Order: sequence, then C-alpha cells, then structure tokens
Amino acid sequence: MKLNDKIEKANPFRVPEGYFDSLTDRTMAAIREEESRNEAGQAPPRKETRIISMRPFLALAAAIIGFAVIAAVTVRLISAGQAPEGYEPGTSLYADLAFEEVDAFVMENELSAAEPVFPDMAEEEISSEAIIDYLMTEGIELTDIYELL
Amino acid sequence: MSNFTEDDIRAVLATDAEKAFRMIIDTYGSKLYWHIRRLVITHEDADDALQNTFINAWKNISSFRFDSSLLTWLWSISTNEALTLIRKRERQGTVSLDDVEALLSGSAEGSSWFDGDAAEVKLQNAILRLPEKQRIVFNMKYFNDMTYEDMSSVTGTSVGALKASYHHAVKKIEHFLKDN
Repeated sequence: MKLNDKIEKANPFRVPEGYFDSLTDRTMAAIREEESRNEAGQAPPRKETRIISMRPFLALAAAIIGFAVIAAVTVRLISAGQAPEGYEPGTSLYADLAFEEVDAFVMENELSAAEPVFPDMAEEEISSEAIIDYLMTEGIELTDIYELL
Repeated sequence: MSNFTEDDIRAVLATDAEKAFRMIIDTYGSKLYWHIRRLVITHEDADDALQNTFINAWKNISSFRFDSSLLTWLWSISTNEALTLIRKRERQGTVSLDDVEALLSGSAEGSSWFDGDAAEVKLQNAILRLPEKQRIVFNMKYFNDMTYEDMSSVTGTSVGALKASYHHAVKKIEHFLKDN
C-alpha cells in the first residue's frame, strides 16, 4: 500500500479562531517582554543550565561509584573474615602443594575446566532498519552507513 | 497573513528592524507554525516553540547576512525549537511519545485542536514512531514539498542522505499502516 494512495495530505490539526490574525502582535509583545526581562537581569524562564540538564547523569554516576566502593569494601571484609588460619595475604593457599598432588585431586574429584554453560538465550533478531535508525540517532549519516555496506 | 518577498524585508530591515520583523512574522509565521505543529502535535507546544523561534530570530536578525534564504534560516531555528520541546517531553517521560491521542490527552487543550479521522490518527502515529531526523525529513518533503537542496540547507545533511532517509521513512510508514 502506497502512502499517497491511502491517505490524502489532509491537515487534521486545528488552531484557535483568530490565532494567525493576532500572531504578529502577540509575538512582538513576547519579544519586548523578553528584552525587558533581560535588561532587568532576570533569568529567562525556560532555559536550563548545563548542570541542571546533566543532573540525572551526575546522580547515576554518583550511584555507580558509591555502589562500586561499597562492593569493594564488602568483598574485602568477607575475604578477610574467611582467611584460613596461618594464611598470609599475598600468598597462594596451595603454595605448599606439588603440581602432582593438585592433578591427583582434580582427577579424583572429576573436576575439569569445563566451558561455562550459559542458559539458552534467544537471539533477538535485530532488523537492518532498526540498526540504521539507531545509527542515525547517534548522528551517523546515511551515506556513511551505506558506504560501509 | 501577508506575503512579502525577501527583498522587501531586506530593504526595510536596513532602516526599521521592528517593521521588517513584523513583515517576517506575517510572511512566514503560518508556514513555520504548521511545520512545528506536525512535529510536536499539540497547539500549546507549537505556539511556545513558534514564539521561541521568533524570539531567537529577533536576537540574531542583525547578524543574518542573507547567505541562505530567510525561510531556510527560520526553518532551521524552528526545527531546533521543536526538537528542544520533544526532547523535554522525553526527559519528563509522562506520556507515550508515539501516540497522538496520548499526547493530546496529556496536554492542556486535550483534543480540542485535532479532528483527524482514524486514518489520519494512524498516519500521525506512524510518523511519531520515526526517529527524530527521519520525522523532520519526512514532514518537510511530504507535507511541504521542500526540495532536497532546501532540506539540505536546513538540516546540514547531504542530499543523498536525505533521499535515503525519506525513502526509508516512507517504507516504515507504509509498513506501519499496513500492519495496523
């Protein structure tokens, strides 16, 4: 189905009566108000400062750093609590074992360096259109994308 | 709304900036409003963005050198103002951004200034699902019949990329209309 076949270029949007008739006067009044505000040194109402607009990202960064610090401290505390008697930090727990003893232990207990098994993850198919859309939102021009294909 | 030529405006601008600017609003106000309105959907937001467009233009009119056309320059400012509003809506995250009726119901005016039939609602929803840049390109081409060269001046994107973007947008919309 072609776009033009189905829907005419109708305009479903409406404006209040007289909107355009008074547009020029209202706009010039808004301009004068803006100028008066600037002269009086008042901050314009709609502008956001960079700090305000970055607030969520700063909060997220602070949360991540805080979590990382807490996690590191917690791991250290747990590790310190579990150290066996006589263990000195920086040394291997198995430093006094010979390789043959380690091998025998592994074979006896049927331990193996098995590949980690991940649960089946359904591979989500991503369409080429979705990829192109994503790249365009990242500011990559379509000609650049097509050149790479 | 009057229809002054750019030469008329330029001639007056040299001696009476306010009069020239009134001519600019008279000539381009309606066109810019509809361009913004199709992007932001609600009249309230379109009015805000249009006012900001002209305030912005007024601040910079004295440095405008007429290297490009006035309309191209204003179109670029108005597009940025519309995008600013859209991104503000995204940050607020209070309404569904790809549903015309949700956007209207979330606005102060409600559906007062929208009386499209089901097909027009579907088309608007399809357009709202396009990424920002594609939405702008589609609107400029489909509703305003702009040339790719003019669109290139407004967006700073090459003609080739715009053609590909428009083609891509049309296919997506047709696909959406077919599935819905």
